[in-house]
Order: sequence, then C-alpha cells, then structure tokens
Amino acid sequence: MSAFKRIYILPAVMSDIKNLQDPGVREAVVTALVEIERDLEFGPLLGARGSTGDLRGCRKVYVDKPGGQKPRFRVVYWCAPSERRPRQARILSVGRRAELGAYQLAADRYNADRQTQGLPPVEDLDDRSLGVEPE
Amino acid sequence: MLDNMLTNTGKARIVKPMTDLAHLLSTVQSSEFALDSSKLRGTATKRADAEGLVKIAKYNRTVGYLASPAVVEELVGAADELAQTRRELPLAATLLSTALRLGIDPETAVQALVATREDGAHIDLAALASLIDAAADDLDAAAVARQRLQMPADQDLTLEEVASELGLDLAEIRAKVDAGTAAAQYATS
Repeated sequence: MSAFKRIYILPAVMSDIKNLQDPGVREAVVTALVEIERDLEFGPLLGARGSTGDLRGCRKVYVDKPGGQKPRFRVVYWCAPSERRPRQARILSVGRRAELGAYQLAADRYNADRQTQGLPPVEDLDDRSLGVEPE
Repeated sequence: MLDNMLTNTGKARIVKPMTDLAHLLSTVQSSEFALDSSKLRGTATKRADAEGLVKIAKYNRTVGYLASPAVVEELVGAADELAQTRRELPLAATLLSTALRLGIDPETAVQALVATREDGAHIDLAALASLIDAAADDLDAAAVARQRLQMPADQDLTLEEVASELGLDLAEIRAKVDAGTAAAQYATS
C-alpha cells in the first residue's frame, strides 16, 4: 500500500456513519472504505442529474452488512485531484439508498471540498476537464 | 431643454453647439453695443423675448446676440453644469477604473455613473461610489465565506480515525478484506 493516505473522510461523514444505528452496517461501511482505499475506482462513476445535482467525477458504492437482499446504504466519494490522475478518495457522504439523501449531501459538499483542494466548481468544467471522458 | 430652445429659435436661426456656450455667453452679454437705435433695441428685445435668442446683424455681418433672461439663465446653468462635469470627469475616471478592478461589469458601472433625468444625462458619482462600496462589501463577504468553506486538510479524518471513533479494529477489517471474508456486501451498479 502507498505510504500516503489514500482515503480522506469529511468530518461531516463521521456524523453520517454515526447516524447508522446498526453496528453491523457501520462495520460494513468501514469495510467498503477499505475496499475503496485499495481500489480508488471501486465504485462506478456518477453523472449530473436533476434529482441528484451535478456529481460528475463522483463515484458510488452500495453497501450493507452481509445477509440482506440488496445493499441498503450508499457511499459517495470522488477521486482527487481528478479522475484522470486519482491520488486519493475523498468520502463525501453516507446514507440510505432508498432516499436520495446521500446524493443530496454529496452535492452540497462536493464543490466546497473541491475548493479546499484548490479546484474549481464542477459546474465550471466539462467532462474532459474532469477526466470522466476518454481522451 | 436648452437644446430645444436653441433649435426652436427658427426666425433667429441661431443654433450653437453646446461646446461654444462660454463664447456664446460672452457674445450675448456684450451684444447691446450694436443696437444703436432705441427702436431697433426695442424690436430686438421683443424678438428675443418671443424667440428666446436672436442674432443681431449689421451689413450682413453678425455683430452679436440678444437673449431673453430665460435663455441666459439656461445658458448660465448649462455652463455651470458643464464646468462641474469637467471637474467631475477625472474622479469619474478613477471610480470607473476602481469599479473595473473590483470586477464590476463595465456596462453596470457606466449605467450607475450616467443618471438619466428629465433634462438629460448627468454624471452621478455618488451612485457609482455606492455601487463600488457594495461590491467591496460583497468581496469581503465572499472572502469570509471562502475562509469558512475551506477546511484545512488536517480536519479531514483518516480511515484509522473513523474506525477508532466507531470502536472498530481496522487491522482486523483489513485482514478480512484480504482473506475475502469481509463482513459486508456491495453492489456497484
């Protein structure tokens, strides 16, 4: 594994995880974060949709504790500094899959987090600049 | 209004460009010398009162102008206004430059600077200054907002910190992931 941290979790995400009452689900989420740490492209890319906001450059992973039917929770993250040169995964939100809460939280936090990384808002960039389109 | 008065003095045929107002004023004030008969003076004065401004000619040579008090008042007012505009122009240029440096749209800045009233367009330094003031406040607010948004990197949590906070053994979770026995199920589509 790289000597550098590959996963950074926004402080607000800690509250998201603590809101998950089931300890088994919490462990599953942390396990998903380990998977993302090993493969930054673990989750599929998201796009820009009216219901979820502009999440181009973000990825999602559905997760749950073992034994259920289909994973009930969603983790949203993005790879910084860009999809073309991913160095770290920045976890934006964790929430129930049935609601779009995790997407909405992620959309709220995405640009602010990009700014902390010295990057422009996602709306100012086209897919090519975001590295989500093949060159 | 001044323009109207000048262009409407049809019989007198006097239309002077605004830039010659000072010259026109001096001519008007000294025009009576050419009216060497009281009858002529009376006629010219009546014409001036009726028309606003008349040209006095002698042997086909213009020797002066005679204006009604209202026109003189207008001219003096216009001259004052011109003088004030000339005084204000350098300050307007400075304010415009400041506005552009602050990122105010040039068209917006000019719209604030040039106030259109019933009697025409006027320079309104106060409006532009107020616009600049508001823009500076906005910039300050934006800087504060930016500062609030910026979370230093050391505030981001690491996986170790999150696991520890949740009372989970990260090493054990990693080992399970390595062994393929992770306590989680995923879907990525």
